[in-house]
Amino acid sequence: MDIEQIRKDFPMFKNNSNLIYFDNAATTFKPSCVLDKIQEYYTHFGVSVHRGTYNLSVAAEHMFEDTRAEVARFINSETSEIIFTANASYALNSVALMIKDTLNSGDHILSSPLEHHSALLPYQNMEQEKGCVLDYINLLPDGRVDMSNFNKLITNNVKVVIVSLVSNTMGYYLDVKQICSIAHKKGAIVIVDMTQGISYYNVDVKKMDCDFAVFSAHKLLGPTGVGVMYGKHKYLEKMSPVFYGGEMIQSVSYHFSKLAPIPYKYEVGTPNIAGVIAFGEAIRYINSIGKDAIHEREQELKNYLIQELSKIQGITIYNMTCDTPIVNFNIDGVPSHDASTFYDSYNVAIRAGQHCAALVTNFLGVNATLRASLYFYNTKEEIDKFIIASKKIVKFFSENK
Amino acid sequence: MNEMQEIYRKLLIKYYKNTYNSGLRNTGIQKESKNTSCGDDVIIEAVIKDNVIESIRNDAKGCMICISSASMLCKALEGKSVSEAKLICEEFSKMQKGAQYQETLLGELAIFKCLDSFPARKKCASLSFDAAVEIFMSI
Repeated sequence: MDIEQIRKDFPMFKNNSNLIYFDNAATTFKPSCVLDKIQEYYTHFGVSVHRGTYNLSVAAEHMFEDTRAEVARFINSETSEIIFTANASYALNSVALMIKDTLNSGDHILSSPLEHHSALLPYQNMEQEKGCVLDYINLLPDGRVDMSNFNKLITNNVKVVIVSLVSNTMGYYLDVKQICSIAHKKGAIVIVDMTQGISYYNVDVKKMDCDFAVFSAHKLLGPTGVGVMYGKHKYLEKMSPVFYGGEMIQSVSYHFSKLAPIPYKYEVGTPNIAGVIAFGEAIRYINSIGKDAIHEREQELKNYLIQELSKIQGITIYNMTCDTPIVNFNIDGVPSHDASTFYDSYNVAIRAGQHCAALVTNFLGVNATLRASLYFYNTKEEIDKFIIASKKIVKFFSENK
Repeated sequence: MNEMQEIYRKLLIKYYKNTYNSGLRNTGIQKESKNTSCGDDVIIEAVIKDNVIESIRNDAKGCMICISSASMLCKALEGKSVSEAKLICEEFSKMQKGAQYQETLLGELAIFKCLDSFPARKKCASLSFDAAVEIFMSI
């Protein structure tokens, strides 16, 4: 992998030459081909999809639908099982609302404290509104999901299991295939939040056998404002959409309307056409580098980052055995937001806070943490500069106690 | 040492490790201000008699800037008339927004001007001022 050449594809590196961007779990940079595609749509196609009777609209629609097919190939689903949403949070909420009618008082929902707020809050709401019970799988001392506890909690009363493929704070990979296999035997459906995981792992929803999955384009080099909701054909066919309106109907009369076939019945209104088309380009770009090569590169970066950061006295790493280059840590005795400002002063962009997963910081027994998250376009030289900055910050605060 | 480190050093030594009027007495008006995105949480308590701030205390949790600014606010407003205190809060707000402000009125609080270089942290410094302004509005 020629990283120098790859970095030239990303204008952000050229326009921010001193920036060390280690906040890729929040969002990734976009290669020029993705940005060009957005420009191309607005300057050469610029019309709506799914309703035009003229050639230009058909051309725009082809580009839009090409992305659907590209996404389907990317995760090995059927094309009709791919629904575009505004983002992953929107997709998670949509799935929750779609399955809400199938749940009754006393039904259990099983999740873990590692999940993003967007995964958990809709089900907290169902506890209040429908009398469902949200259970949490215990975490092992290192913060991984305790599979033996999962096996205990997964009973016939559990109707929904919601887990993430990779934790956005701890960077741990979860064997979702095993979760699906066990949950399905008890009759539960499994929703997988792949928002972080799909950046780092090859995903095959058929092999995994999950019932629903969500992710966002912007963590895969694509634009913001585009999310994906995957659902098994059988569920998408029988469930009802959350929103109604234009684009998603076949015929309308005074008191009854016939919905469009899947996936269109779940896509209401004019979509983010430019974003979706550009997302297709992002996937093609990732494919051109190769998911396996990307994974290998990320493992190298992760190992080097952990190795170097763990050498510094005065830093606590909370996920030494992380599977992905998402490192969760604190500088001892320094509130994370203050440390983050110091990193900022050294042109290092990392995240401070609870990372939309407050139950994790709660588990760790801290108010907030620092998160350094890398992507394949980061370099060992950047890690070296990050380590130098870390040492300076530790030194400063130890000298000014 | 760069400007920000110098400021942190001053804040740390003076106010983060040695807080001023920290801890509530539950004898005055209390207002809370929170930044839910980062966990900063400040309660300001003021005893106001005859339009004078007889006592002003804080309970601040969060980052160093948040905790320091709560102490500095208490030190700056203690013993002031309500109208003087309001003016200081207004000038602080102007400084935070990048508008013209009277530096002399702010005294030590003018140190937070450095946050112009780190706008993401301005909210940390202004939380205690938000709570104080709420107290003044409630009387």
